[in-house]
Amino acid sequence: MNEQLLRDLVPAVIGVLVRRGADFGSAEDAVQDALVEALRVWPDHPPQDPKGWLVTVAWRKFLDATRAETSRRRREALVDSEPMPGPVDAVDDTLQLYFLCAHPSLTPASSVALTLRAVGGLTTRQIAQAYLVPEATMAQRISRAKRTVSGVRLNQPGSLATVLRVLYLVFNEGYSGDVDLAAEAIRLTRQLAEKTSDEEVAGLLALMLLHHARRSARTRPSAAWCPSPSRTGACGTPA
Amino acid sequence: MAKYLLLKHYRGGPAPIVDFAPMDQWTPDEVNAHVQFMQDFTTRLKEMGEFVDTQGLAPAGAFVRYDGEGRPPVTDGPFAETKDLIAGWYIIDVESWDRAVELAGELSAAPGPCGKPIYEWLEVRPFLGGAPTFTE
Repeated sequence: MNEQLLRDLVPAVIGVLVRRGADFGSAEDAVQDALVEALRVWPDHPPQDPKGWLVTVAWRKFLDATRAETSRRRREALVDSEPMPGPVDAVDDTLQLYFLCAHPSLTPASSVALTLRAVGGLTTRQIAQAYLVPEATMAQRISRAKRTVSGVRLNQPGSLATVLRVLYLVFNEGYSGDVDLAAEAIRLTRQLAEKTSDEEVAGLLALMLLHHARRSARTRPSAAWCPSPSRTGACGTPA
Repeated sequence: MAKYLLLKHYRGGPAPIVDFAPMDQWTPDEVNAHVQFMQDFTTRLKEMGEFVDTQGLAPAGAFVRYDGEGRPPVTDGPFAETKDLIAGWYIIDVESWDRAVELAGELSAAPGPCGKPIYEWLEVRPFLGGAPTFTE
């Protein structure tokens, strides 16, 4: 199974579910369930439209979970009031998820954690390792962030400025643990840049790429820091 | 986020506000209340997603240093004064210096004899090389 494809699809599918009315935490759970199903089914029956497949299965999982959790009356009302799953529309839901994860009601640290989890598709353990905190601490931070934004509906444009701030924070954290956060920040910013023509986004991406290209020149092979005069353009690597 | 060490100086640090007796003279209930206070504090930190680590330190131990090539390390101890005693630490990962100070203030109010706060001095130290706290 193509992991890169899945990591690109997951935030979009979560976005679809949230737009259809699922709260954020349930949407994420449902998508995880759908991925488990995909692991089982796809090797023998690869879907023609992976995103559509995931949306359909995740929505069903969401409804199942909702039915199990709420009283019969509430469940019936919900199912009755929600639109039936239709074809996936062309609105970019990934972008909405960026906005949600960088919602102004969240602290910068919470936004960072939630963005890496929901948009970046990193595991809680990976994020905890990258930020050198216990996994349980990061899990709490993420679940608190999810609770904070659980009432937020994605029916209005978010603030691109908060998104850019979060992405830059991720980039700035560099890299540690087994996740290269600088590369992850570039990946997420590149993805964002494909979805908007905002020049600030292009600017941030350019800034990241410029810094990143010089990354290998900052240290000698011994891992000692290079004083800046001895850095040369030749040390740079294309990003 | 930035990490801070909260170093518990017990009866040391700047001039004490309350000159309380050493813990080995407290009643078991007073000790239990003190320990419970810190466990509750730890639980709150975990729930807030701000907890990294905590340890208590035994009063035993000594200063140790290098004493030149081929010579055994020099030790100086055990600690004579409880003034030198570091009782333990917390490591927290928080949004700002102000939040670190706020938490240290809470921890300092741990109860001692008669259940009264001991006004313990806590040394609050940012980690070197940690990401700078974000400000607008």
